[in-house]
Amino acid sequence: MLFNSHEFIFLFLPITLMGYYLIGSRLHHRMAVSWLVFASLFYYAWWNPAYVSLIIFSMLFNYSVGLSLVSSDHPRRGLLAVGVIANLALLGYYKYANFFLETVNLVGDTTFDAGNILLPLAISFFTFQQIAYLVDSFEKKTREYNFLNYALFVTFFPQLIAGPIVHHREMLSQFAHDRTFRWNPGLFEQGLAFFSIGLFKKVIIADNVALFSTPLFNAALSQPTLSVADAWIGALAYSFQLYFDFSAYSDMAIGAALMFGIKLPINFASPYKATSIIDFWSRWHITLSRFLRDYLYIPLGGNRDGNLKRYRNLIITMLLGGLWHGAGWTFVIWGGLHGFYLMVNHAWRAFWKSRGKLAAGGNPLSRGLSIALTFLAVMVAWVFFRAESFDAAILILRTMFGLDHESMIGPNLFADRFYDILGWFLALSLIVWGLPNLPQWMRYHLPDDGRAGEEMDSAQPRPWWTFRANVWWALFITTLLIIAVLNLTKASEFLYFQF
Amino acid sequence: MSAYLKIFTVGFVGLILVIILNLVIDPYGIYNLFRWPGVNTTKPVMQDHEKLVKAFLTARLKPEAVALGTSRADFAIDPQHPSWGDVAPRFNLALAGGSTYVTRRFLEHVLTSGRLRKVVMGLDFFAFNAIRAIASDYTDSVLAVQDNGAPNPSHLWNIIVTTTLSRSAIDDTVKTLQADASAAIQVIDPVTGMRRFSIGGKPIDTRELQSRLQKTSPEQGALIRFNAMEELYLRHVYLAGTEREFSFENPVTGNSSLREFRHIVQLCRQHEIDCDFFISPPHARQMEVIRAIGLWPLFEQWKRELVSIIQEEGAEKRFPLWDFSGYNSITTKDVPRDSRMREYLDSTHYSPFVGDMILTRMLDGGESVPQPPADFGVRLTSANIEQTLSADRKRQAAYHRSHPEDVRAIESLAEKFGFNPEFVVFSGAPRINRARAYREKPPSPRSD
Repeated sequence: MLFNSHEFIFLFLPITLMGYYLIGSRLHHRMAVSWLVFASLFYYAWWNPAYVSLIIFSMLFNYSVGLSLVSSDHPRRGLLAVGVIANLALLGYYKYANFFLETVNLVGDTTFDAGNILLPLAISFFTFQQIAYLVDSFEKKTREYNFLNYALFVTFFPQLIAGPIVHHREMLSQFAHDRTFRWNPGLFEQGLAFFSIGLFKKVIIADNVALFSTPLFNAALSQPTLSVADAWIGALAYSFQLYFDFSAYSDMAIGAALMFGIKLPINFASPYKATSIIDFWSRWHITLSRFLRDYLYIPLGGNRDGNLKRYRNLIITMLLGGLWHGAGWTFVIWGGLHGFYLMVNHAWRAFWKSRGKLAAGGNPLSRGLSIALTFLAVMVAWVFFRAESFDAAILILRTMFGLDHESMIGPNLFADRFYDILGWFLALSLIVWGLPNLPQWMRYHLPDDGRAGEEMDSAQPRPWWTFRANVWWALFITTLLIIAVLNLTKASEFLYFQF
Repeated sequence: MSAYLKIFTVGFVGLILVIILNLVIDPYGIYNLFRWPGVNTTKPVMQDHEKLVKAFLTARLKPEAVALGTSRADFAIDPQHPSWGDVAPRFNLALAGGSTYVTRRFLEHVLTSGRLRKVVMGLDFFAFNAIRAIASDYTDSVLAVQDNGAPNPSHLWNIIVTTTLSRSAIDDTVKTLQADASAAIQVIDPVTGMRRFSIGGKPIDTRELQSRLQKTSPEQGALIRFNAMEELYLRHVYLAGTEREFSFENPVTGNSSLREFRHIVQLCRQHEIDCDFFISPPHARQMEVIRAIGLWPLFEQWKRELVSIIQEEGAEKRFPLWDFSGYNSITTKDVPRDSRMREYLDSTHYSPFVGDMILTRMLDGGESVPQPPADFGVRLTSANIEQTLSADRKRQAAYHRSHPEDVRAIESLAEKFGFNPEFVVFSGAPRINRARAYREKPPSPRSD
């Protein structure tokens, strides 16, 4: 069940909310937690009931391993290894078995076949969340959580399928407070705004701008040459599409959780405003970067053993990070490219530091150039991320940078919509680079102690453009919501002439 | 409640009103809750959403017998014809522009009820061109089963939300409210599923329409309708894609129209459906279009492939394949300039009169009127396919002698748009499966 579906918006979400607050206001908060766990498992089962047992098994296993780790009086390295390997093995089997065998077959000219393995939804996310939990249990950083709360931490539906990758600390501390489960109109109103604006971004922006990227990536598979303008339009459109898709999804996740009085971490903070790749990764998929840093890069040695080892660790981290996004070589290349970018970025900083200066200049021109260069590097990497084959990605990039001498210059695939597309790009650029992001509008942040229900810091001055639960904001948001809802589906027409 | 939440509530009530409005006006004609002459009886958008309409109607009707095919069978194969026998209810599930893929998906959809017992399927050459885009009103989400065989329990929900709570439904409701009740429009008959004409919500019987043989102006006559479809099919229907190709396989998507046909035969066999296939009878002038573009060898190959697929599936006895195409006494009827034709709506769409003859011939309808002429329809088998093809070539030559003006007209049309059979390249020998039409030079207006 996707957030942008009628069944989620009109059935699942309202029913779950009503049940939650009815139970929360009358009964013990354990009952409200149970209800949410039940609803989240139902949400998971909607896609494929058979895999519910998988997620339940994974939770029981990790919870009990975590308990043994935290309660033993000596470090149990072996048990931790078993736990982590079991999680990785599960992920490896379901997500990478086919990819691995295909690669073996390609290299060794063999024909192994693992059969048709259906990737269980969300497995990449709940695997990582639980590995973090095991490692922290080993280091005695977890408390003895109650199983129900633990189950909610893993399954809580707003973050179950596509993140954020929540950390047990920030979630479980919220579940411990009674007031989390009581009706809080302030958070609910904020949640509605987050969800509605996110839905609008997905349905009206991301899905429409996708119409300018998909034809290019399809053409790159079947056509020998592309036009330069098409390649740029497609690559730019995809950069916007992915941005708004992810931004929308993060907003909807935060919004849905807020309606339950629960705060999720910010996962997306104007990443294209980044002035460097290092900066980009602190703004894009923040919770993934955090996980990779704390549970992969630092255990590998981080930056402790000199620059060479640091670069090696960066590359390994980013290659695996790429592979995590999808079982395919184009994802690995995407990760490798980012690892390379990060390496260059760190080397550049080290170079300026050795000369006693800061790498990033303070003046607006150098700032603008840094943003543009960072965006360009990110866009080039997105071409690998999106392309369905390595050859298709190379064809697009060669065409973009004028290395394909056969290609036309002017738009071809998009010839009849050229000005339309320019208009879209201008408007979207204004949103991406000119406006504050939604958490800033909403003055949303996750308190460090994870306590939900806290009012925003009232000492800070409040800019005029920030959210207030007043009539004007309600009209604005309701309008966006209605427009989005009415565009969730479309009765497509038969066209006799399809040339 | 805060003013903020009140406004949200008002917005929510607004959405409910939208649902009610769309349900009441019912632009796609699937709910039929209220009928107000002059308000919602003329439904001009219904025919553009045939896939959705028929998915919904068949999900509710759960027919025991269906007709499959494209807009030809859609207009002409009448589920109420007596030769169907005692299977009921029956429904015309033919779909405009339906490729073999779309047809297979809809067959799977009606099979989910477990009640289907009989299928009659019209086969059209152009629908086997795998390069052609899938009909734009086709969406997977309206069918009861997914392409991978898994059930799709939310298909009715998908149809209901799309037709009640979407911007396109609102637009279509507005079009319905603004519709011109005096214009003839095409609609889908909600009972039989047949495509037919309607004025102001009043159905027009296609048989009656076609049998008005009185003199009419040339603008209303048969020939002008023939010419329009000949040009359309010549330029845009038989050949598709940027390369102007006809191919049973699509190299980009990997789809194969013949594999889909085989899938249909297998589904009928597995579910013990009584199945009759027939090759549609386009008018001889439309056959000349196929020849003038240069596709005749592929057209013959197509028939061979159909025969061999049915044979390979061990179904030659159980699933008869009839061929009504070619040059016979129905398809070679003279085309009048100043009156309609009983047998044809235009050069590719035959009328229900001809549809009745097809059903009578195939299903042993016995007494039904009119009786098909003896030369209309041959049962194709692996034993007689080559004979039949060569007999057709002879009849084609005879048609060229008897109707030189018709043949000349089609040839000059092909010439005008730069088609020449000599510039067609076939591939896949000896079983050719692909043809590509090269133009020697860009079409230029003729000087003479």
